[in-house]
Amino acid sequence: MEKTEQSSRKRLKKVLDGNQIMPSSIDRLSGLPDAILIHILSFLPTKLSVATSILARRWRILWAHVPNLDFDSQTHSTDNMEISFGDIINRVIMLRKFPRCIFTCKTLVDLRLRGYLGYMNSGEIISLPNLKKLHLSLVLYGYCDQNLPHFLSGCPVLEELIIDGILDQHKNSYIISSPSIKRLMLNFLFNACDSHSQVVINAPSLRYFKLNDCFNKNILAHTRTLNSLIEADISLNNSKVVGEDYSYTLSFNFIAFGDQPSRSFDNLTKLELDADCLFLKKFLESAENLQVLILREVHVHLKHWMEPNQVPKCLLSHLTTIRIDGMRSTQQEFDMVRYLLKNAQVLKRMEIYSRPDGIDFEAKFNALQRISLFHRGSVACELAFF
Amino acid sequence: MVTTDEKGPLTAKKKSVIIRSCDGDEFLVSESAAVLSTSLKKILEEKEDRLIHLSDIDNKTLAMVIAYLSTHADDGLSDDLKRSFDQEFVSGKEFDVLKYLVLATDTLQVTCLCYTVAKKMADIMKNKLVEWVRREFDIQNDYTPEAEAEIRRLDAWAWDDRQLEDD
Repeated sequence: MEKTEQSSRKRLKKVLDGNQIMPSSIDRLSGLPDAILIHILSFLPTKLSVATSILARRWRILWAHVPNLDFDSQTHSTDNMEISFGDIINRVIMLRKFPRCIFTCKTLVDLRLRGYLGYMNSGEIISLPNLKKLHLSLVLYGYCDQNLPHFLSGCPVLEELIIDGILDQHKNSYIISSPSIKRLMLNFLFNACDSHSQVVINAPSLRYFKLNDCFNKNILAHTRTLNSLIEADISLNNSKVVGEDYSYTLSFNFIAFGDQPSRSFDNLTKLELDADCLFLKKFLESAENLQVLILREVHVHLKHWMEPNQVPKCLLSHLTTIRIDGMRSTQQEFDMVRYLLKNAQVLKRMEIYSRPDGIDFEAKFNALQRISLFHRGSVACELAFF
Repeated sequence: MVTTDEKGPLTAKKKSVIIRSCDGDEFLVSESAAVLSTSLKKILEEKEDRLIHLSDIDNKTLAMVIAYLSTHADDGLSDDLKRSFDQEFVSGKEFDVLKYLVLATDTLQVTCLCYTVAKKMADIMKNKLVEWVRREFDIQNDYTPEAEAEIRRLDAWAWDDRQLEDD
């Protein structure tokens, strides 16, 4: 008992004495230890955490201990202000307990930058030995191809990299190279930059890759990157470019980089694909160990179904779950479903969701009836139709 | 696995521990739930006694923490269910309640709950005015008017819109 009481924190006694759950003590939040207050502040944008300094003297410097920075140039109105966004960041960094330069901060773990234009050049010394998470949102990378690699080279333990859009107008290639990153999320939802620019990924430890690309970027991945991949979530939505040849180029570039495309996705076990179903064939052939396959919005993407020449290995030995979303009951879709049911030898469950506004009850029933008669390569396979 | 937040008997089962709040009420908790708290885990490793007295945590707060620990120790629940439980757990709770929770999770070292609660508190603070925060958090403004004016002048950019602005 003694020990228990000793080990519990004495400062709590003041606020939590007696039977009352809410003692009418003064300054109740100030009863919270600094560490907790700093933890709470760490969830606020930096601008708001700085604003708390007005609360009381104790709060004057609390925000400066927060281990992450979160700036957004959008929320900084520059009207009637003589101070630029860059000046603000410099001021914040100056006030913090960190070193003057944010990019040589030894303790920073999580950094988010939005619309942040300065500093990102290869002349800057980058040394962020503890940075685990980096989120770059609409960042201008500058003219030199080496800026992003240079930045990443200063983050030796980086585990997660998120890139949301790229602002540059005249750039040809972005190189994402890091031996340590495990999770990579790329969102290209804004057509801010030249759609012909390409992204090269060299990340041999990558385990999770999410790509959301509306603008047909050329995504090139080194074979080593794909070997370590376990989960991928790929959305290639392109409403703008109608010419199909163009999107094919993308798929083949994306998958066939490296000299052994057929063994590219050795570790991939789960794939979510929101893209032209022509990619599906390639993925099935490249991911021998695929267990879970999710196809989203097939009514948009399935234009032609072409059977692989040989039954892909993942169908013979690994693929156990298939989910198909947005089925419209076209002949192409039935052909694909028939092929998958016939050839997936260890399939346990196939779920099919019809497009919500797509077909009426009767058509749905007919589709179900038709599919349920398809030959199943796996006796144990159950079919669910929603 | 037996988890209960009722008052338990003094003789604990082998795989259970009894936790007593500062109000004197006792809660029977499975060991698998208790060890999700780093502090309780240390205590259980150090001593044979199956009765742990927490002199800083009241009944109501302790019951909530135990409900959380028991849910997270339940192997029958999927991670998704646990995540939605976490969301439910903090939603709609009064700020004062969250404050005692965050203190308790800090004492008991339950990192993931501490994270969830602190984040919820931060969410509540967003879009509030300075005076609201002072009132709700019971903070005494101990700045002199001159000092406060100086801070506002130095970091004017931080108050350039309505967030955390005075009424």
